[in-house]
Amino acid sequence: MSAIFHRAEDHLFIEFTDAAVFIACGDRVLEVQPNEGAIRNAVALLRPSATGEEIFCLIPAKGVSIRKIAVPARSNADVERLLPMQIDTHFPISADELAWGYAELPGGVGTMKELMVAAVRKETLKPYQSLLAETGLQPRFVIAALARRALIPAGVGSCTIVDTSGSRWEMLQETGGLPSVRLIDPGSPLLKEGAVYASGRDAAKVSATLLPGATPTAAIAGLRAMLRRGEAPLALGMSPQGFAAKQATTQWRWAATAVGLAILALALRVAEPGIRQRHVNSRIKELKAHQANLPKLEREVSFLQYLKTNQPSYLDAVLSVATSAQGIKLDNLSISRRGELSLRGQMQGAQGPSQMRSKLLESGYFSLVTIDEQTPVPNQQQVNFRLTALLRSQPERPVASSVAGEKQKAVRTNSPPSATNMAGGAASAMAAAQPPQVSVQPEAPGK
Amino acid sequence: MTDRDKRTLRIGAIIAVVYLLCFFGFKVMKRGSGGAETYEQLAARARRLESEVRAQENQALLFEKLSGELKLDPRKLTNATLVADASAAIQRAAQQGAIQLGPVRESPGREKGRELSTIQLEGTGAPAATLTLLHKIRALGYPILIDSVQFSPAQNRPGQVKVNLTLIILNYEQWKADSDA
Repeated sequence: MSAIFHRAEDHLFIEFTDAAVFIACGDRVLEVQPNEGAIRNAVALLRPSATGEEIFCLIPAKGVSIRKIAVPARSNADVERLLPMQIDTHFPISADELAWGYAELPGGVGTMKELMVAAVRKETLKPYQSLLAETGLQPRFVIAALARRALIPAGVGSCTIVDTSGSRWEMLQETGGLPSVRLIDPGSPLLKEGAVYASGRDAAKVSATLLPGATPTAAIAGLRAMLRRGEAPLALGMSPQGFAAKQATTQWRWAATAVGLAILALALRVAEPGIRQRHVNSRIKELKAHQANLPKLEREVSFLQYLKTNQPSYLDAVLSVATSAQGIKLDNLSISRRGELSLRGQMQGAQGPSQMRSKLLESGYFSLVTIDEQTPVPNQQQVNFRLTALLRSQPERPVASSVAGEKQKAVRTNSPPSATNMAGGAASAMAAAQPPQVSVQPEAPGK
Repeated sequence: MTDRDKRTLRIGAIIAVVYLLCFFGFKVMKRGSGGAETYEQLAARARRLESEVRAQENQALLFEKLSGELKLDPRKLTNATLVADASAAIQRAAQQGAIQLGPVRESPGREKGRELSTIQLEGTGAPAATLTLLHKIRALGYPILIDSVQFSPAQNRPGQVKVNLTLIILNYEQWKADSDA
């Protein structure tokens, strides 16, 4: 994917100067001696991270000629056909012996197109080509001085750009939209005219404005800026249309990839049933086989649930009565399946039955506790009473369950309580409430 | 061929390709959506089946739990001997708990209430023993409901209580028939 959607920084840039070779890719820049081995090693080091397709070779301005040529052409094909003849006319040597490139200038009239043509002898490029051929590279050759122009801020008209990297400085002067390139000696008086921008090692020595953003070198930065803006650089041996077409191909890849992804998304939606249907069918078969092996126990479960839930917990009720009754002589205690509790007995003091009623209510096991009858026994400070209550169902016992929880915590063991323990617990609670009084007494004869 | 002609041809080709894509794309989509509908139905069926199986598994687990708790498997119950067996088991449990049994009365249950029989029994024993009996009755392995329980002091036996129990034996056959209906 990265090879499809690359940035300007992802191309490999090689700039030749008099003293050194700069090789840049992404954020990494290497400065090496201009010999074959060093260049090969540096390229081998940086090339794997170059996801862009292009390799640009920036060459010095030495031997470069720039002309403005007007060509009567309706189409680009006409330009390609006619330009070599015009070059033959404008340059001292034949177009066949030159490596040339062109860019269209604004201001053409009618079918006349004004072109900026840059050319250099093919022999001038040969050392670079042979050097790079050893590393297996086939770069596009771009004139470094022209690439630096891309760093000039918009709105600046005529200006001079000087690069001070070499022993002789490269100067590009732009007047009337057409640049001219020449080599000058350091400190040349030519640099004192108009707006001057400088870059390179000795740029500070020139009383000029430094080229903005000129890293790693002004030429590489300028070329990157052009590529970012989508401009076609003037490449020797290649038409701008060819370059633009290549750029356009890259841009089309975005659209093609987006369309491809959209089609894939739709196709997946359509294909999903086909792909997964077999899996779902096998799952249904599996489930059916499993279901056939499972017993149908609906009736049995509902019967057992009915059996479990349709009688009150008698032991809980007895336990609650036993803990609530203090000083009682019990005559009768009955509990029905509907949860109706009826109790008859004798207590010391008139307040006894009321206190017992309060405790029964507090226990949370009972609702509607009613003292149906309370009769004092003459000369004995005792009362006979009859009490009825309604046992709450399991979910309606918030208080009771918490009390029971606390009690369970106190006697918790690793094994569940046995029947004997539970029954014994209720009985001992009954007995422990007030042992002498709570013990069940035989009814008095004749009562 | 001029650039303009080439451009016209290129645009024409793009329009033709887009048209063909849309035309065949819609056809494929239509066919695909039919397949998708069938697939959705199939997937819904699988989901339904899965939830049914899960419910059935839960029921099996619940049955195991309740059956273990009550020591009762309703599928093994036979009405012919159920009352006799249950009555014998209750009396055995009472005797094991040192409860002296009094009169035991059996009467047929109400058909509407899915009852097979009602047993009334009296016994005398220590309070702990009577409560243990109450607890044991639930796990004797028979469908017995304690309808009512009554405690009163045992005459001439200090420290002992008399317990009156009314027990209902449920009719599982009736229950099954009602469920089927």
